[in-house]
Order: sequence, then C-alpha cells, then structure tokens
Amino acid sequence: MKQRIPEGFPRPVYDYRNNPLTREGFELGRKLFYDGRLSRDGYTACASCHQQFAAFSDFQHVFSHGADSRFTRRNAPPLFNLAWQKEFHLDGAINHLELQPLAPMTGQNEMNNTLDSIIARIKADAAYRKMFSSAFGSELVNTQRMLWALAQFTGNIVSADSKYDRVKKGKAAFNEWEQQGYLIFKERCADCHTEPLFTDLKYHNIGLAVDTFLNDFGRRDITGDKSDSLKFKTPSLRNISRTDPYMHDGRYWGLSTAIDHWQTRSASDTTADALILRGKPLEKMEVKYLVSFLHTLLDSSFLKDPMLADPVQGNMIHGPLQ
Amino acid sequence: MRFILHLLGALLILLPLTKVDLYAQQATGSVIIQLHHRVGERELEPDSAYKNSFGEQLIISRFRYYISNIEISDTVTRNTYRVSNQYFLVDEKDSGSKVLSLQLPAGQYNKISFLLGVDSLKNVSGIQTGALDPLRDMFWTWKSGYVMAKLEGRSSASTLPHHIFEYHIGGFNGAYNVLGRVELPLPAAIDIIPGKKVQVAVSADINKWFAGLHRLSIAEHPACTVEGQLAKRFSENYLQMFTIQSVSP
Ligand code: HEC
Ligand code: HEC
Repeated sequence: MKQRIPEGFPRPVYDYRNNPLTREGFELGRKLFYDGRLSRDGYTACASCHQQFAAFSDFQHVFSHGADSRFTRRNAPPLFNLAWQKEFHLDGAINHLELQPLAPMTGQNEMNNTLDSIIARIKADAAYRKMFSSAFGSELVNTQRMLWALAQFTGNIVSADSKYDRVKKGKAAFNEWEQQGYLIFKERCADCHTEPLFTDLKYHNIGLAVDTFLNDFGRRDITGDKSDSLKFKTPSLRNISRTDPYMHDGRYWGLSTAIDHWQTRSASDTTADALILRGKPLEKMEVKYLVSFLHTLLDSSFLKDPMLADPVQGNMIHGPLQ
Repeated sequence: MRFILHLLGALLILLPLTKVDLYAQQATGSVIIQLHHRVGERELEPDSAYKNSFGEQLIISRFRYYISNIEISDTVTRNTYRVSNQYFLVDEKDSGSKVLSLQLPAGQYNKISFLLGVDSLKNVSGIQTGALDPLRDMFWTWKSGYVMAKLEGRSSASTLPHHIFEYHIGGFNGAYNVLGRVELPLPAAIDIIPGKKVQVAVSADINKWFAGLHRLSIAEHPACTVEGQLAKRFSENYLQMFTIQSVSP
C-alpha cells in the first residue's frame, strides 16, 4: 500500500520509513480506531470522539464524553492530513504521530485505560492475533506494533478532494461569491490558515479571552514560556462547515462568528497576534463571501470514503440524523 | 567510469558495516556494571526506613532511572568505546535490572560515563520498545517525553496526603533539560582481554537527591512531577549520586 499524498501537497513529515505501510497494517489500525475495548468502560473508541461524517471531529459537541461519563477539556479537533503535522493537540503537547494515541488511551477523561490492560484485551482476541501476525509477521502484540498500526490508519486519513481542490486543478469553477471569498481569504486569513493544508501549523493568540473556568492557556502550558500564553495551533479550515462548534473550547457556533477574529477578540488583550491587533473587523458582505468560500473546502468523498469507515458495519455511531 | 562510481558507492555503503563486522570478529571481553542503591552508608532494603541529611524520614517504594549512551574510554589514549542504542531501565525492585552487561573490544580503559536518562533524539522519534516501551510507566503521555528518573515513597516530613513524596524528573530540551552525563573515573586502568569479565560496582546514594548541588528537603518539596526549574535542580542533585565502589578483578 502506498501512502496517500495528494497532488500539490508538500512532503509529509511522517513518511512510514520506520513503519512500513501495508494494507494489513492499515486494516489493523482501522480496527483499533473503531474498537471501544481500548477504553476502560469498553465503549469509548477513538471513533466515539472522532466521527467520519464530522471529518473525524465530534459532531456538534462542545466537549466530548470520555469513558465513565467524564468530559474532555477541549473540543475534539477533526482528523485529516495528520502526516503533515509535526506536533499534535491544540497546544502541540505531542511530538509524534505514533505517540499521540497514548494520551487518549491513558487520559482519565478520555479512554481511562492502561497500556497493560489494552494489550491484554487485544492478546486475548484471536482475530486480533491473526491481524497482528499478517501485519507484522508474528502474533506478538506490544505497544509499538499497536501504535504503528494506528499510525498506518491515522496517517492515511487524507482530505484533498473538495471543490476548492477541483478548482485548483481546473476541473471546476468558483461561483462569484466563492471567488470573492477566496480573494478576501488570501488577504486576511492565509497568513495563518495557509494553503494547501489551510494551516501554517504554528501557534497564535487570536485574542480570545481566557475562559476562567477552564483556564486553558494553550501553548504556554507546554513551553512554560509566557509569550506563548493563549496561543493555539492554527486549525485547518478544510471541512470546516462540518466541525461546528469552533475554537479550542468550542465556544462559538456558526462560521460567521468563528471567522471574525477581529470582532471576537477581547479589547483588553494586547498580546494577541499583530495581524489581529492591527486588522479591523470584517464587513457584513465579506463574512458572507468568506463563508461561501469556506463551504468549498468540504470534501464529501472523504466523509464517505469506505476505506476510512468502521470495518464492522453497524458497530457505531451513525450519521447526523439518527 | 560509471561502473567505478557504482563500485565506489557500494563501498561507501559497506564501509560502516564492515567496521561493525570487524568489531564482532574482534575478540571481546566484558564489563559488568553492578549498581548498588544506598541511602548514605546504608544499603537500600524493601520497606526499611532511612534518614536523609535533613534528618527527614524516608521509606522508598519506587526508585527507577534510565541509563543510556554508555561510553568506556581511556583518557590517555583517547580510545573510546560507545555502547550505542542500548537503553537500560534500572529498577530497585528488579535485581536483574541492576546488572548492566557490556561487551567491548579488548584494550585498556580508565573511565566509564553514561547519560542519566533517554537522549533527546529518542524522545522525538516515535514509539519505541523494550526498555523504552511506554508500558514501563516512564513516559509522559499528555506531553511527549520520557521520565528520566523516578523516586517515590513516604516520609513523615511530607505534607502531602498519606505523607507521600513523589519525584518524576523529566524534560529533554530547552532551559530545563534534565539530561546530564555521569563521569566515573576508574580507580585504576582496567585491561579488557578476550574472555575476561571485569566487575565494576557502582553505588547510587539516594540521599544526594535531597542534598547534592542544591538543598531540597522533603518538607519543602514533597513532589515534583513536571518539567521546570525544580526538576532541573533535582537532576543536578541526582547526577551526583553515583560513585565507583570497587573494581574486580
Ligand atoms: C473522549 C474523546 C476522545 C477520544 C476517545 C479520543 N480523542 Fe482524539 N482528541 C480528543 C480531543 C479533545 C483532542 C484535542 C486534545 C488537545 O488538544 O489537548 C483530540 C486530539 C486528537 C489528535 C490530534 C489532532 C491534531 O490536529 O493535533 C489526534 C491525532 C487524535 N485525537 C487521535 C485519536 C486517536 C487515535 C484516538 C484513539 C486511540 C483518540 N483520538 C481518542 C478527543 C478524543
Ligand atoms: C493570526 C493568525 C490567524 C489569522 C490571520 C486567522 N486565523 Fe482563524 N484561527 C487562528 C487560530 C490560532 C485559531 C484557533 C483558535 C482557538 O482554537 O482558540 C483559529 C480559528 C479559526 C476558526 C475555527 C476553527 C475550528 O476548527 O475551531 C475558523 C473558522 C477560522 N479561524 C477562520 C479564519 C478566517 C476565515 C480568517 C480570515 C478572515 C482567519 N481565520 C484568520 C489563527 C488565525
């Protein structure tokens, strides 16, 4: 199996050099991603908080439900194009795609499990042992193989087939509003939400006042550097019309509020990014054009890609209208 | 011409391999490092109570640390043997883990040094296995990085619930990087000859965690479980805990 690398994308950061990609490894990763038994309560899979129809974010949830009825501290981000990221989580706490699953697996408010117990459950299952054997050449189940398999799946969740992408390839055309929106986008947004990933993968403070209940200072809590206070990783805007609510704490519903960082910034914050401090709020029509453009970033074939779907039919959460 | 270039290329690729092969063929001897855990003068035993230099009570329930990047060298000839890609998790509870067995080429050596912890590179290289498996409970899952050393227990001096103290020391980059090399000159040069085993007894004095370069009492610092200045200080203390106890034969 070949890594999915869309035309026009830069070279991925994660390239499977140390974790040779195979169809069997990918399938094992997919099974793990959809398996609730990885959590302590036996129900909370990765896919419980990352649903395909919601671009692998948590559909319409501000915070997600973890195992044993606890809540996450952040809004679950969508998952795609992860192989291009050097760091993970909204504050960049995790430095490698393979290591990321350790956080939800052992997080008390997520899957609340231990590695020992996850591995014991997998070992006890003959179907898994067979899959480990086809993926890695023997039935040995260990942390490394489990996380390699997960990375074979998560690293190939790729989204690059939206209308925008077709326009770029000359196979479709923007309508007038979308075109207007794209022009404004390039002027006002692209410095941070940079094409083709629609993120610069850096951390910025867009001036949102800190929620005094959550006290989430973002990047600062990782680097210990005061100047990183309230910085969060620029989220990609691909599939953005599917990932309501918005921001690290899901504080905004609806794109028109979420996109006007100049309107939503707290007047007392003088440490926000210069682009935000200097810019002026968007005009009413600009918001409308931008929202039209952002809708062209929806990749509907990705949301339905059978390769990324739950391998066990009827196992899990269904579409938005149940 | 083209052929020669290819040949050259092939040779260049083979070169590092042949070097390793030569080592393998070369008759080797071994050095066995045996670690002895103590508090001050007393050897550590399960569930016993000790005192640190502040007179604070210590009952130790967990003591573990990583040793990596071991080098055995000769300061006169500058001959150095690097033990690459071997990571040892030393655990007080596991006597086998306190014996580090190294094969090295014949020669004379008068110094042992090692990194206390897991080098930065391995902290950013994805999922590892063996001693570095996160299953070993020496890896921070909420923020990637290894815990280089852990010391846990109880002390009447601690103000925490159940009088516990807990030190998980980590941080592999930036200002609060806790990685450091421990340099242990041997009392006399050792001769490694084929088939010979040299035993080096190294002792690790836990008291140094509290009274090394800095004075860190349990009463004042009953816990340190995140990166930062305090972790850095604890590391500067524990880097001083090792001494050579004896070498034989
Ligand atoms: C209980 C809900 C929940 C579960 C279960 C869960 N996640 Fe997440 N996931 C989140 C949240 C919330 C975040 C944001 C974390 C942060 O920024 O601190 C996140 C972040 C991520 C990211 C980082 C995305 C980025 O752009 O940086 C990846 C990758 C990811 N999760 C994969 C997984 C995998 C794989 C599993 C299963 C092993 C999993 N998640 C299980 C809620 C969940
Ligand atoms: C200075 C850099 C910067 C600029 C300029 C910028 N953004 Fe953002 N944007 C961010 C960051 C950082 C976040 C995440 C903030 C958070 O999670 O608290 C964000 C969040 C968003 C979100 C919510 C995404 C989500 O998944 O929750 C949307 C939508 C958005 N931006 C759209 C836009 C648009 C449209 C523009 C231009 C009109 C723009 N942004 C300009 C940095 C920027």
